[in-house]
Amino acid sequence: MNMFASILSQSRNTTFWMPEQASTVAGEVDWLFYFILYICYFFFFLIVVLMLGFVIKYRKRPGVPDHAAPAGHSTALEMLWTIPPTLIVLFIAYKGIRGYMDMAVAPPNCYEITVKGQMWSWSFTYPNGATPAAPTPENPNDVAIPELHIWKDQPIRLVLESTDVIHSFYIPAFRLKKDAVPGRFNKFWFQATRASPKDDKGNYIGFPVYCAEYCGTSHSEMLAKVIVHPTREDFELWLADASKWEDKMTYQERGAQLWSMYCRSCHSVDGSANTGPTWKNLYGSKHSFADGSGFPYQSTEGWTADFADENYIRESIYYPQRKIVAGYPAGQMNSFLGQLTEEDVKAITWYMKSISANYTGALPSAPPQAPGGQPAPGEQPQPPPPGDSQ
Amino acid sequence: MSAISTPGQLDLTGTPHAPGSNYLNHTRGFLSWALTLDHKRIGLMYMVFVLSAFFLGGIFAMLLRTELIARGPTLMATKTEAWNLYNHMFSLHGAVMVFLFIIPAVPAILGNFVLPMQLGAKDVAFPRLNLLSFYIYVLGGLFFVYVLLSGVIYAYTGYQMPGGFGLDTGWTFYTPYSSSKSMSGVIPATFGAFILGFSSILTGVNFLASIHTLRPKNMGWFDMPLFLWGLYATSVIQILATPVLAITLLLLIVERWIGVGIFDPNLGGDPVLFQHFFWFYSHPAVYIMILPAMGVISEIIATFSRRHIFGYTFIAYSSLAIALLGFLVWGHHMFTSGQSALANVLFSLITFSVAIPSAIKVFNWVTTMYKGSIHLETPMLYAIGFIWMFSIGGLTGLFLAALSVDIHFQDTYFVVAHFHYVMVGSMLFAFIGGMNYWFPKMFGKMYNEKVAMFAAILLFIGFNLTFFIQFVAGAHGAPRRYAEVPVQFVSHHFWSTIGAYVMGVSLLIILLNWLAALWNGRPAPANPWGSNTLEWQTPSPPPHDNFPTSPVVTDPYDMDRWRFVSDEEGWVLTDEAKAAIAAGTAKVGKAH
Repeated sequence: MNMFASILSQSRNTTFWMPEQASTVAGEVDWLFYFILYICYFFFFLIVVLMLGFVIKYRKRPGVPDHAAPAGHSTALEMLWTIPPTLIVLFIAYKGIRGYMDMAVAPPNCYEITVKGQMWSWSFTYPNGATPAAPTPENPNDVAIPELHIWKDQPIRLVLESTDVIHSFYIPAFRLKKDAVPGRFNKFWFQATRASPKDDKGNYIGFPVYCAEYCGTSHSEMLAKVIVHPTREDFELWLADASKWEDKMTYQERGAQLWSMYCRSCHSVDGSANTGPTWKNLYGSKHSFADGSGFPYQSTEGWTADFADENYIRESIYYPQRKIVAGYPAGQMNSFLGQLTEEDVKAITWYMKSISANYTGALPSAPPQAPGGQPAPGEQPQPPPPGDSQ
Repeated sequence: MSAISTPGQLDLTGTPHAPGSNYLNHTRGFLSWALTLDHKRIGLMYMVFVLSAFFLGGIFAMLLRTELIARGPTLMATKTEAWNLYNHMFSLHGAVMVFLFIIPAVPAILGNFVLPMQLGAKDVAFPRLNLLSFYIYVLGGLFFVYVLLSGVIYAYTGYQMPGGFGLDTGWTFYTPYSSSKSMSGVIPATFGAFILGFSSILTGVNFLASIHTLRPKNMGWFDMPLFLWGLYATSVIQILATPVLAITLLLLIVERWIGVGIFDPNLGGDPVLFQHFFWFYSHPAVYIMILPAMGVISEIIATFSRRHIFGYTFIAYSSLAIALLGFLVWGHHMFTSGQSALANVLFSLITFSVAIPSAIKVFNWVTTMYKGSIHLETPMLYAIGFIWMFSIGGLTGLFLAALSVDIHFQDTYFVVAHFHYVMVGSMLFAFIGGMNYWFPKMFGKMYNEKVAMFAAILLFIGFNLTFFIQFVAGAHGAPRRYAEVPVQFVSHHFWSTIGAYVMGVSLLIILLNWLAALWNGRPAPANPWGSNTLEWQTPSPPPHDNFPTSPVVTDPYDMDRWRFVSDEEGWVLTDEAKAAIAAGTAKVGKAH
């Protein structure tokens, strides 16, 4: 059977019909795919050849009278095209169910990773409690693509959750997909059979992951990658390093990361309209509020903002209902008090500065030395910490 | 002139321009149409509105395919705007095409026009109900017009009309996106679909009552044309499944409006429950779309092969089998949703059972052509195209019914291609084929045959170019409803978009050809194709009461009763057939 499968699936890499195979179940799925495909070829060509053959052979010719055979009926013929197809589909159903049971029943020694879907990004929480950041994209206009890191030949169990709407975690190379449904945990498992290849620079080329359940505006940018390390040691090295991601990013990079994880379903950064105001040129702007007032804004906390400044932004994140920007409905945004730390808010503010024409000062060029240690703008650039290859 | 042989006196080569009134001209004025109870006029009014909806849905399709012709924003300046436009376009395309075009097209246009005449009757059982269901359809359609306008107004002025703007949930309205996140017009759109459901139910009731009560005395159940079997099976689904959709959409409206918490997990609800409710209707709805289309194909294949349909009873029963089994397979839309493994296994098994009656139909059609005398006129081209499309659409269903393979294919372009081959390739080809088949009867005019055949072939090429490549993209994992084209699928999408443009051009040619025929088409004979069903045994277009004299019921597929008269460019009863009518020996049940 296995030899048959390998002939049918032609090679281990991409074929005309199927993407590369990289999980233990992919071979079985592809075997059934090709089996059905050849059944389809057979019946399709049978039907089309008969049909076109009859059209040519029995076509009405000019000047020749109609010559149709008398009415036909044959129970034997009806049985011929009822019973064999029934047996074939029963066999296909059996193979499909068998393959599915292999996907559904996880072995006992799985390494478990929590996958959280939200509009429109994925985040992965490892057993050590860390939720590593997505690598910063080379082009700042691109959306950061988070990575799920695992290692080869290890059963992995994913626990899927969603904080907002239904998403679906789909890894074509593994032939697997499961919906992330709010209000329940969906689980599935897999075991990678191929380590991720590396590009010229030595970076892993991940297997693509797509969100496969429509989830709103940027559904098509809710992407991820699966990076399969060759060994567990390699994976653990990566995890130890990636778990401390906050320490290795500048504030604005960290802010961009947080935006991607928490804010981008409502706030654009390119000026386009969305549920909430765009962050482009927000810092330093003097917009008016829904109640008709505007800047300078006297807060109940005792400070005054002449324009959208650090205090105003912090208040908008922690107490979003205090002031609503004109043209936007109240009650849309929840408070992030307790979810985002003061450091996070600081990072978001720096990110807003970095995308605002109203801010002309310098930006932090290196990660803060220690929590709370905000480098002043214009400070001497510091060499990146060793090991920071992002 | 003997008193008993009245049908034989009919000049069946047709004298459409002879003095005398037909249903189109026997009364005049707007109100004579708006308040008509004539099933033929109601069918034509449906045609105007359903084709308008098809045109709109087609515009949406062209826009969404254009957005996908290359990576990045194509139609708008920024990504967010382009993605939003695409999301609204694919949602409106799906909703308008499904609720306003595919579901009503064959039953409401062709069914309304043909069903009473195939029964030899003057009208449907409940003509007033028929007019009511038309106006309910128009009312439901207005809600979608409102949704569209609200989107256009928002896009140009930023003003939000009550209920939201546009529609960006997909035609499936999945919760909780539709109930709590989307800013679009979910309530007007679902309420429109809710109203359209009543139109569908009333038409179904009407057809069931008509087939049960209006059949002539000597037309038994198995003497009916197969088109009526298709409509009968469709009507059964319409009246059993549509109420479930109505309740589901009402629940969704209440959920979105006042947050009752049936589907919202924050309030203890279950979003997957919505999917169960929705697909309990919407999977059978696929068979609402395809069963009447199969009926049309049975008529065309037999007529243009000049041969009695093969395996009549198997085709008739397979329609009923598809209708009933179609109710038991909805869970195959939720294989990845987290429903139990046992449910997945059972739904997979039952889904395969639908393959068998579908295969039976295809083999019977092909066998009907065996030793026929095949006339390759436009409707037959569409029927051949239908068998091609339906074979691909049906066979690819095997991949999706196979549980392990579907886990890979769920929500990819493989699914998109599969259901477009069934719902567009098959259903649309049957519909346009049927329109070309009955067009001479409807309007008493012949369209330009060469242009029609050219458009049919062009549409076939365009369709396969658009959708076949989507199977390949989907098998490689291209996810559906993606506004941004993943890098590896750029060329797939490019060719698919080119194919869509070819389809658009060919559909315009088809429309213009019909309009040109109305303008100056040559007069149609009573029976231009030599079919033996009853609607051809009256002039084209038919008089107000359908038949000048009661037609004599014979086997609907006894093609030998007709011979072609080239002077008239139409078919007339043979002398034997006329003699049999005169002698009272013309009977049903002769051929099977």
